[in-house]
Amino acid sequence: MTGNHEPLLQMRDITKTFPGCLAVDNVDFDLRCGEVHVLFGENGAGKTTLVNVLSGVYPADKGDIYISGKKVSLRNAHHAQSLGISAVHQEFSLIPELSIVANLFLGQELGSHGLLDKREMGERAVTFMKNLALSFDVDLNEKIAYLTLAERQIVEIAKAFMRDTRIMILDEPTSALAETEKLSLFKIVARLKEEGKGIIYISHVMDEITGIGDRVTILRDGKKIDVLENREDITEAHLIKSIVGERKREIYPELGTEITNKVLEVNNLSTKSGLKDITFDLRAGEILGIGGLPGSGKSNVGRALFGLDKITEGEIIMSGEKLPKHLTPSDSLKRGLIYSPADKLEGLALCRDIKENQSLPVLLEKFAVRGFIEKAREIEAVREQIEKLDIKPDDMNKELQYLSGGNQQKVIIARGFLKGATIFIFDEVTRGIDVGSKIGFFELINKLAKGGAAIIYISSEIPELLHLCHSVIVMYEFSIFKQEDHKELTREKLAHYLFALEGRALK
Amino acid sequence: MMDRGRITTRSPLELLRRVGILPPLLIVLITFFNIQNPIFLSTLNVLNVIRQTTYLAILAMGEMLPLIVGGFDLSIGALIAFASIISTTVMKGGMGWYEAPVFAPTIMVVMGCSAAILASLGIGMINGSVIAYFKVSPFIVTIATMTIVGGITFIVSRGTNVFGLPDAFHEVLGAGTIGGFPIPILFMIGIAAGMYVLMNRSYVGRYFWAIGANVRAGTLSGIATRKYIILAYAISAFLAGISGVLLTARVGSGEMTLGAPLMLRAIAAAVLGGAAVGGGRGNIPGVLLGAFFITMMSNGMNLMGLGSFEQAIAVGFLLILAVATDQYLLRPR
Repeated sequence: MTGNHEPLLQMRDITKTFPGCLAVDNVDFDLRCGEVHVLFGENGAGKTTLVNVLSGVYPADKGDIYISGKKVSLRNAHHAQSLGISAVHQEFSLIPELSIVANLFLGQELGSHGLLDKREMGERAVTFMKNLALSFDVDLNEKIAYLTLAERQIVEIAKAFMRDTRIMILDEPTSALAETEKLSLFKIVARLKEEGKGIIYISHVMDEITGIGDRVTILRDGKKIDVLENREDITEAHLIKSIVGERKREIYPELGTEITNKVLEVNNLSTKSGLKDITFDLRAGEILGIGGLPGSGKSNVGRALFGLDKITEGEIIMSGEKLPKHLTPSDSLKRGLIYSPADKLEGLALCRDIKENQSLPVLLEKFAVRGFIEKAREIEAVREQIEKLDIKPDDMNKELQYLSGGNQQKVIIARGFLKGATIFIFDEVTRGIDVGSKIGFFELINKLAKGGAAIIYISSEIPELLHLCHSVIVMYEFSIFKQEDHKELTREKLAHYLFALEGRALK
Repeated sequence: MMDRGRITTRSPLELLRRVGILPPLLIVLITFFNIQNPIFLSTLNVLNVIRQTTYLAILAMGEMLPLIVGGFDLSIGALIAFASIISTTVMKGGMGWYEAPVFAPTIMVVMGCSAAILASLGIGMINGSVIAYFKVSPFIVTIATMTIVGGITFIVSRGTNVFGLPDAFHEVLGAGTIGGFPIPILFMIGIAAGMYVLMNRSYVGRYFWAIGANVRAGTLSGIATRKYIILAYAISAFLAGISGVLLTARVGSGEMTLGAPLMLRAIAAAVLGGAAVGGGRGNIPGVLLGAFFITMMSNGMNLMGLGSFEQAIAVGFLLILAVATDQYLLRPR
């Protein structure tokens, strides 16, 4: 039931922009006492931004927040907590070097005269965990660092429940949980409802949404699209349709048609990171999209091919040559494969300049003679890339930390050009950059493929997968759920595949 | 227009950002000391400061590398005493074996010095290997080797200093000149030139900087990052060995407590010269300037008649001032 109708929380006209990106656009959101209100939408729809505003992570540019009818202005996360807003975030907020007990009580330690009452805290923590009834069989004095991902997630949830909460935000709380643990979590949620608390729930899992959601607010491109007010309306069909609908059009270049010889063959690849039985081919001139929800293992495919994830089974054949099982990045680079990681910072030396960052992977091979760098040649080559890719600023002595995200990304692409790479793996290349630069990237990648390069394009953006790629692989739970040619693919189908809903008919 | 890797016209602040706080600070202090005591800028005193700088400069150039790759080397102070005792013990041992043939002392000096420098190199490689492969904090590892090396030094020397060395040792390496230039200074110039080429002309320097700035970026670029981390600590210890041997030649005997205060000064010199604690930055001209700055400070204050405690306080304040200013100027705008 939806409980009583007293508004616990009202968010009005919330707007939040990040450089080059309107993340939340004039959104209204209501939460009643004793309800589970689901936020639903694609990646980048603004769900997490909206709850981050509510939990005081950052302020909104515009808009008002009312709690129990009283207007509040949230100063920071601590302030939000003191008002009874708790959150389980996607990123963990636990301190690895402290014990479970210490983490649970972090910021609200028990004790007197400046001394901690460890025994009291330990006992309370045990009782508390027992009451939560999450299946959790770990010594509470264990350090977080030694816990598995699932155990950490339970502690994270428990920590949020420890606080005196009126509004509970759960942002993808089940992504690392096993079935039984999920059921326990839902029981807790049910209990919170009975106590008249409000729960904001973000999830990509259909069964969870249809199972526990009382209302659903649907976001798309930072805007509120719809609110499903009645439980009867919360169906898979409705939800899928809502994220498929027309959205602002991005311009995609026409796909190249010249797809020639096979350059990469992946057979039954499994990795220590969890990938299972991955098999696909890649041809010169082809752009192969890899999509999937967060945690589906799509990034791990790129990492495995570049030698960053340990391979346990299967083989990778590049231009007819079988790659060594203990693959390292330098093995992959040597054969002309270059990888641009989802986390751009991973690949860049921020306090060094554009020139050094660009030439780093090719320094020995292209610019060094007997160990000495031929600077004139290097500068010439780097300058050529700066012009070709239109990197701003065009001063090659500028440190990377002064460049925008898009331009940092271009530096990584320039590495591939300098290397003369034939296979490019891009992971979330357009994340966090503005629309103008995005279009530039689409053209660049398209041109790259037309020039004979083979491209693996990992993305969580449905339109990009749909319009930029010749063929799309959809990952689900670290396996390939489906591969399909772009001619066969529609938004609806792709959305279905992402949620692993193939074959179930739309109502 | 785009520049070709050269400094084009910039605002004064931009220029300061490029060269750092040290050069202007040097100019101010030189003027100040010279007003206090005009002897300060006499040829004799300037030469004296440069000569005193030598040992610290060699040490600091080494220390710069662990700093650049994002670490620390706290063992270099102990290595100076270690090199001092090892080199002199080997020399003296050799003296006993040979019944004074003509070439023997020279050979013994060479053997003693080589033994000390190679042993230091070995310890540096151990430092680097443990840090690179076992991911132990450089702070812990080099403190541990510092105490180990200190213990070995004590056992080898049996707690006494080593006297009775071949005359050639002090006369050539300590006080000798070639074409009017003191030999230790020539060593420093040679090492500085070599290190400059390594850092600015060879790919190795690039790799050091890149690894220190972001070790993941290094890995993603196909660099065998561990190899270069080991190399950084090896060079650091190698140069500490050379510095130790030269300093021993200067004082003329193997001393157990040689170089104790030099370790912190070497770190200070490197940081003053632009090496970042945390990694990714640091350059040879800066470090040389930093070493010169520290030696000049104590020389100038000596001439002013300040005691060593007052000096320590002044150096400490200036260190904080210099580093804080650089940090402030280097903030992303």
